[in-house]
Amino acid sequence: MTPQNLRFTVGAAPHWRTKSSITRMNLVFLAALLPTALAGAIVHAFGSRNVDVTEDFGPMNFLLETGVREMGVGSGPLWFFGILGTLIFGMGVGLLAEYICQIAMRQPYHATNGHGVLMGLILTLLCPPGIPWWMLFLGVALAISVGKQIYGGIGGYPMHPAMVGWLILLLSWPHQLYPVGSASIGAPNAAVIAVTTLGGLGLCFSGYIRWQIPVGVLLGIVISTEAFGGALDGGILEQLFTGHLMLMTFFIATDTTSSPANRTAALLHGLALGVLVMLIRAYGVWADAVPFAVILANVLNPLFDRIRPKVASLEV
Amino acid sequence: MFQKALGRLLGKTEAQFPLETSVPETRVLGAPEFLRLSLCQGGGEALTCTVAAGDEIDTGQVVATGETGFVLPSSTAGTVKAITQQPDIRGDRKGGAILIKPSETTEASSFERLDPETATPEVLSKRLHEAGVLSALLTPVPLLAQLRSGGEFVADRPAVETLVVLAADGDPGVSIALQLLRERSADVKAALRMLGRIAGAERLVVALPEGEQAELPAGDGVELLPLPAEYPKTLAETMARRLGTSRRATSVIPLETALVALDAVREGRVQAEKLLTLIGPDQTPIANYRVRLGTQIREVLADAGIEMGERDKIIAGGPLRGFALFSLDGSIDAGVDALTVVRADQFPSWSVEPCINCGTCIDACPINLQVQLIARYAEFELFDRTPELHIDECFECGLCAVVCTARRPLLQYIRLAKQGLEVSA
Repeated sequence: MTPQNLRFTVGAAPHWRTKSSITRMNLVFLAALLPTALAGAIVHAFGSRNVDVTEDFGPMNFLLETGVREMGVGSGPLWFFGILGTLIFGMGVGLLAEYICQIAMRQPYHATNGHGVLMGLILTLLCPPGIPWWMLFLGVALAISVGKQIYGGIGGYPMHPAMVGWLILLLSWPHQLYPVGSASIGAPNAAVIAVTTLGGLGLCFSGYIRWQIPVGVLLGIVISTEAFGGALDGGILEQLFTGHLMLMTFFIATDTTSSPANRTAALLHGLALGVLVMLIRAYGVWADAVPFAVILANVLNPLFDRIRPKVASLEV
Repeated sequence: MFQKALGRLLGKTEAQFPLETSVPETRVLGAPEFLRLSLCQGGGEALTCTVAAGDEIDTGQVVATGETGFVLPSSTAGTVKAITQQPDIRGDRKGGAILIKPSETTEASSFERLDPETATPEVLSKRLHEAGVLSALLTPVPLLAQLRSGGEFVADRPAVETLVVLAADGDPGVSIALQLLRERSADVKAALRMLGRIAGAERLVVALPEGEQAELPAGDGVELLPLPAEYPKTLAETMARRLGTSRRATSVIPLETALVALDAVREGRVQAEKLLTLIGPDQTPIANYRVRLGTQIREVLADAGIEMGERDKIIAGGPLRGFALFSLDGSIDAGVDALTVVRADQFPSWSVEPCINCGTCIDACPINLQVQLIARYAEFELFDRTPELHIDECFECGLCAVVCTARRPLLQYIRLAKQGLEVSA
């Protein structure tokens, strides 16, 4: 027999709910990005490269130099772990920046929901492996503080924080962000981009992102390649598998806060992104179109989200 | 797995709640030592007790009356032991109950038997009144109030044009309507025709789960409306939409209530028993219980061998629409279709996270409401902006709150907005 003095939980219906949460969603995103991070590190470490270890090399350069010079360890594995260290550094700064911002703003601590970490990882993936540590630190910290927390944190920011952080870096130190002969960690060649695509498709099929955004981007690219393909180098496939387009399609454009909630609007959001990327690639001065396109499309989102599904069967 | 992935891709949320298609074993719980007839029945109003401790009462004898004329007949013969306090299971503070020690023998009928086919509507409605038939809704109301426009209980209701007997269960896991439909299929139409005559309704409909039509051939001026066996497509609130009729001129009567009304007329019986499904912590039904009205919730749980623990939830009603109780002392009344047990670790608490605009609630909403916007307006008390988002269409199925990624209490926000609008109107 149940004792008399128990206290039960009360509350309004519903009394069942799914296990979904913001934390789980961010962990799934991080897991889907993990293959890209590893593949990127492997390609940079063991593929051909024309950057020497002795040059400035990321947050781990001290360790690298010591390892290579003093202990005579092969440079490949050191690059590999160096790049992993860079990624972890970026994620750690994301977590720390979020935590500090929330203390400063007297918000409840949501830093453990993994969103700051995810923003740090995305930003680091878009940086070259040789990025100076202070630049990465500054980029991630600004992304979290100016790009995200200043608007009230998750759910409030109008533009993707990692893109804001990256744009600040790009406009401030273009040569460090685009060193001659070095691609970014997340997209060194077509094979890594293919890995990213697989991770993105996994996200699609697990329902964490909506298929309308990738399909919209693809449509936008097809349309704009037809429309002004003359100004681009290469066809549709070359366009898809260069730069950060795939990362953007699956991991950046699909960020819930800065993308529309309705599905038709999401399709338009993707379409706008695809066209904007191609426009900037064809006629813009910057090598990478993704951050500009994402931020422009983000600003359009409140407009897109006014396209709402019809409320089913209104009263007759 | 492939199908599941495809469903996810196309925006099916995790909130898929198919209704029961089979009936679990039925357990009959004998009369307990004491029955507690709640004084919070009859449409939420507190009833005034008309008996005193020590009185000997018969089945069908009036033991309490309401201000609007509702009478509560005793569902048992016995001795009144006390007028006690007990929590109302729907959270009203005006709790109270008549504590009755039931006698060993209970007569079969308290009133003279009538023929439901030939008796006049006036005689029939007098019987439903004296038998105190309550409609087994989430919050029970007198059945007559649902049937009669000029009835004694609700004055401003337009005439009922469409009368629906809902032979499908609302919440997932519950199977009492299904069991009654299978057990008493012969009586369903007789009950509906009788209620239709009382209400003067032109259109008579039996709404039942798809695949159960064989139980009930069409004809006799009664329409069959097959419903998809999935929450929330069988809720009473959706029937007017589905039939394309005016919501105010459509009355939806639960099957159990229709059968109770038929028994009150044909057998002269007062409702003495209630059928309810006990849904266990593993989210599956344990058994359908047939208990005496006035049985304490504690006694049902004890019979099933369910131990409650600290911070668990005990819910009067189904898992998606029931009332969570703070005590096991409340007693079963006509509106308790189920008892649901949820363990403390099974229900993640609501959060104060902001909306992340993921759109899952829109996917889950059966009528495509912009739940995320309504909830945000409600959160900041901008209630007057919610009508343009069709908040009045919401029938509170709660699926948005079931799936919300940020675990926001979305249904509570919607109710807050509705209440805010009511207050300002």
